[in-house]
Amino acid sequence: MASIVAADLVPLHAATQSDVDGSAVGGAIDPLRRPVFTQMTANSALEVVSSAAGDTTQTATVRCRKADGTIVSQTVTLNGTTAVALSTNGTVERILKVELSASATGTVTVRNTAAGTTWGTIPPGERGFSAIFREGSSSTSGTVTYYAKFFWKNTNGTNALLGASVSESADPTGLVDHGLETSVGGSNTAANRQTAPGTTTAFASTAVTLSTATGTADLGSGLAIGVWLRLSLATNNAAIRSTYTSQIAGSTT
Amino acid sequence: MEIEPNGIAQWAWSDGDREVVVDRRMTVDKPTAAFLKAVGHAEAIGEVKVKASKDERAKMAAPESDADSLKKLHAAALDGSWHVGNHEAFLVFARDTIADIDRDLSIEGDEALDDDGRASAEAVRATLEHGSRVSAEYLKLRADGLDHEHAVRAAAGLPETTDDEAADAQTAHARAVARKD
Repeated sequence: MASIVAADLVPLHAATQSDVDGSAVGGAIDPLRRPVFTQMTANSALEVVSSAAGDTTQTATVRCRKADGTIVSQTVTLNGTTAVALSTNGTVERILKVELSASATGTVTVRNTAAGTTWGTIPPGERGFSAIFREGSSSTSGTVTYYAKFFWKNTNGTNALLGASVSESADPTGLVDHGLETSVGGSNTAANRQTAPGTTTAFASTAVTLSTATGTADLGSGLAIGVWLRLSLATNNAAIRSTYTSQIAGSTT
Repeated sequence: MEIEPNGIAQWAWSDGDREVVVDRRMTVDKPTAAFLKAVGHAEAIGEVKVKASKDERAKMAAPESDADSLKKLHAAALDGSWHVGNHEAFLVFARDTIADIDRDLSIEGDEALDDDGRASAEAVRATLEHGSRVSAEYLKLRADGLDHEHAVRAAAGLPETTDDEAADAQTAHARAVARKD
């Protein structure tokens, strides 16, 4: 079996994300949906296209925020390798969520119109991607903290990621830190997205080794470690369109 | 049917010829089959709230179950197509992360990274660049017709393997990709 390559380490959502307050978040891994951590660098209209001509029955729902702050959503039917413009959404400022009604045979790409910059792709078999933190707001009366969970999964068929550790590689806002679940493949939840989850390492911006979190140094083939992110908004925090990038590192044979 | 956006300003459906924009509670008379199918999907993921007749409900398609998608995911990993998509997704991730790192490295003055932060950022950047070269080469080899296991080994500069070992490895890889626990 080939050594682990960077693309073998895949970020995946937890089973329950939440766009609204009051609903539980977290849970087990969702192998079908990925978190995306970066955003459009300029406002644009979007289109969706598949790499497979036969992808003509699935619908794609693309939920975005416009420059005026409103949230719009459009559902279109894929047209194989012919791009479908999300013309009713129009020019948008950020992508919040993309969801297919069914897995596609090809790779589905969401990009600026006229075959412009690609912002996200959905590999064959998967169902979508979405921003890790979305549709939250600061408060005038105090700080607000949001929690979101995702997983780093080792999809290599044989090799373990030796001495694995999770760290942040980019946090321009300085508002996000992380904690690891204390067992590999954990399915912990939080009561809602503003309630801290139990059984994580202490939230920090520094690297956390798998050994520290779980007692096991290596992330085995097919296994995943849950990572909780904490976004801490100050009172009257200005609106944020930014990025946060997590990374998992280790060695391989 | 009665339909309204669910906590958002507007939900829209179009099929190239027709368009329905739902920006308030509204009644849609004689919804088409294609519209009803899309409404079913949109309702299931929370974009709209719907009051529909029994006949209309019968035509509102539910999304594919995650269990069925997981079977397709496993099949895609087995036939190698998922790996192409995964490497493409990695290239987007690496591109954006390298851009973030370059922005951080370019900051000067009080907000600039300290020596440790700069070294760490540059190390991550180097790893992502290497990963991107491997993924780009992998995609080129796959486009040239090489199967997944041989392509990933060649792209990563690893020793070749036999066809049987490659097939076994791809089976194991597919299991790992679709594993949920």
